Amino acid sequence: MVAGDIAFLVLATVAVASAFGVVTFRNPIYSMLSLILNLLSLAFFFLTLESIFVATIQVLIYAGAVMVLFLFVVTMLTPKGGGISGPDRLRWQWTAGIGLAIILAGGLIISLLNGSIADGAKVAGMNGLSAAVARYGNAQAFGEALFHGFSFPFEVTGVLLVIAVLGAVVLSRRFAHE
Amino acid sequence: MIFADISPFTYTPGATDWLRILPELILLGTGLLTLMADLVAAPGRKGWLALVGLAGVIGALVATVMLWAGGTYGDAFYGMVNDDRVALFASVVILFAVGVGLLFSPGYVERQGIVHAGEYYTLMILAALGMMLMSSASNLMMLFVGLEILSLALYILSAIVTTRRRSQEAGMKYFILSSFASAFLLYGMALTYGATGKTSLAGIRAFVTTHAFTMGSGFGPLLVVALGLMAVGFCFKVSAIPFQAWTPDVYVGAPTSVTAFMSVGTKVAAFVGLARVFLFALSPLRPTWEPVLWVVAVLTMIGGNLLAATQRDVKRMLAYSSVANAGYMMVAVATHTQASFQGLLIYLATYAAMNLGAFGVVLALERRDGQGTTLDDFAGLGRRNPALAALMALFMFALAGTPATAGFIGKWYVFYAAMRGAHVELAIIGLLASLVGVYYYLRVVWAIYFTEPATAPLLVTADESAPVHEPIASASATATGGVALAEPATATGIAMATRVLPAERAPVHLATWLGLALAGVLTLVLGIVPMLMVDWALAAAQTLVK
Amino acid sequence: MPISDHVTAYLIVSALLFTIGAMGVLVRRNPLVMFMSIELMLNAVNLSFMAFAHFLNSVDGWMFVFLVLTVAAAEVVVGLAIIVSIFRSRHEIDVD
Repeated sequence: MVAGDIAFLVLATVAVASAFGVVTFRNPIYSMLSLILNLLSLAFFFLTLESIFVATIQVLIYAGAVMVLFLFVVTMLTPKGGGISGPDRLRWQWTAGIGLAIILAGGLIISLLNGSIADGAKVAGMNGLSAAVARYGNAQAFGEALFHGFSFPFEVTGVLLVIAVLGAVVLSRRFAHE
Repeated sequence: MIFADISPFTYTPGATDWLRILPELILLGTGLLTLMADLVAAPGRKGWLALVGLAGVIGALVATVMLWAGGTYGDAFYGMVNDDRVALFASVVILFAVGVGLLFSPGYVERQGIVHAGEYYTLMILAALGMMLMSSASNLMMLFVGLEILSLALYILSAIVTTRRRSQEAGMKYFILSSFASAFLLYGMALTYGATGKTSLAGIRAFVTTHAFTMGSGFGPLLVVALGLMAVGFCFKVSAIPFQAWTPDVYVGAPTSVTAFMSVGTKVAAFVGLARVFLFALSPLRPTWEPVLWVVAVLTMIGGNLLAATQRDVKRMLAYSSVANAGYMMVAVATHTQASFQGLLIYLATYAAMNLGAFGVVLALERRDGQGTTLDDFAGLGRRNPALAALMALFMFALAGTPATAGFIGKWYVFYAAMRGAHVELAIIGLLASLVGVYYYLRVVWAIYFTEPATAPLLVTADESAPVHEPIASASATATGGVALAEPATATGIAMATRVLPAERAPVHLATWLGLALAGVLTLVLGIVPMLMVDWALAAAQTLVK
Repeated sequence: MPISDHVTAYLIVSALLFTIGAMGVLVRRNPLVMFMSIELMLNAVNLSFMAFAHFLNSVDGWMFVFLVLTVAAAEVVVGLAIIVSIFRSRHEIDVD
């Protein structure tokens, strides 16, 4: 399937290029827009991996709602293209950071090329995802798993959201006399 | 493995599942109750919320003991959490830590002028809930969610003194570095899942037991990388060298009551999580990960003790001492026998008692501007406040590992297990490193009893310390502090500061005394009659390491 | 066999994104950009999870991605609150 390969390569290029954009743009707003592009390219990856529902929430919630909040704060704190802190790190720090990154990437890629999912893992891991998708449809299969086998972690994230709300209140609410 | 045949698409939890997480449920209810009760609490008089929280903590403790006595442990919620003895043992330590932390809080919160006192108590309880969930996790998902709950709550608690820049910067630093570490841990989890096809710890263990592992091919490379990434993530969380850089700044910048609680609670949760992954799920791969943890243990013991020995600020010294203690605990993990895991649990329990106590004394001495914790401030404490001095001496002797205190018992079991587990060299390095520890812990005792304060410290504070170093802190502390509110705010900020600050070495709050007494009694009891705890730790170790 | 049928292809993209994110945290000093780099790392992990879920025919990866999404959203709220809070204090210092 040549079309699939071309799509994959285009998506991979966009994803990696936009990731580079995030870390190299001097203006945080451009970094932000790069990050949104990166999240969208990941959503397309999820589509090629046949999970329409996760791709949808990636676009709606992550690239949409969360990033809008992020963008709002970035524009608020970045007055005239400058950052909220001093100049970026020195040249040797860049070199050291890039060196470490190359070592990390090299190690990861060499291991990933040598290794693969064992057939045993395919047997052990299978819990009928494709059958469930065929039976229920993509979104409903997601929901059935989320509300049955994986209901507990889902419920516990409620605590996480309470903490996040408390954090926003505690850290940003100011009293008149402060 | 019980859940292997059940489809995740049809499983439904039942009443027993909820019963198994009863302590967590009680704690959650308490957290939400304090949040609601905050609405009816008058501003500035929120100390009783700590009592509400404490009642809930005691309730959760009772539920934990009942589950232990019931003795029918098992998985719950599709193998997400369990209530085995390791989880219950860890829960008891965590509940003790949060209980003492809550006792330390009312006096301190009032003195530091923390405006969001109600939310403070809620966050503390929810952080403890996250720690309990993490230590009772039997699935990588719950391990991750529990870790994130405790981390998020602690980021906020570290930064909660919004009027003090050091606290906010502590929150910021903790947030960035800890999320960075979480990402590494998560990537490790993803690759583990990819290599074994499972996210449940029992499933991973079954897979690596039944499939031949080679480092160069098949699922081997994936798992080796996963091990490395998870080791990095966990080492960050337990502040092991070389990933300790965040610890001193965060521990010093955060409010001391939070530091006391977090230095103990995160260690318990992270070490139990580490043990569940490395000693249980991936224990067949021991030869692969053992050298890495060996190196980390040695570096952390030596580096932590040497760095701690150079500090003059007692709070910062205790922060580095917690790094050094992470090293001793890492010895227990690197030894990977049942006895060493028992040693780890014992060490965690004893460390909780003495470390909470030590931070508690620092908290009692700390002044409103966050200063007053250097060795010079401890000079002559023996005459100024004999009770506090005696407690500090006790905790310092315990941390140094003196016999008849809790610290000795913890070190004894860890090093003895290391020698029995063919890691004599780790035991020897640990003993030598603790000799350095003896020096800096006893230096505090020396300062307390055998030195005199150089100048009158209270006058120094009033003249230069507060207004120069932290303008916002002093200005708003005078504006929000209980004393200042009673007065008409006519004087200028500096004048107010000079007038209020001399009185700020306030008498130690009753609840703080209670917390210190609890920690002190436990430090002695665990040191003199440790047998009951040792048996419990053994029972717990037997359920996890076979 | 087309490359997009190999799990390794997705894993390598994921590893590259993760490394670029880690590099961002290490070399940048602007807290907002460091924070964005962390988001990048979390998303790289998500790509791995989704690839594994697809090739293992296992629903766990989907669920993990959903959790990571929620956690990341909560982290964004807390992180931005801390950054805004610091910015406001500094701003106030400058004004005073």
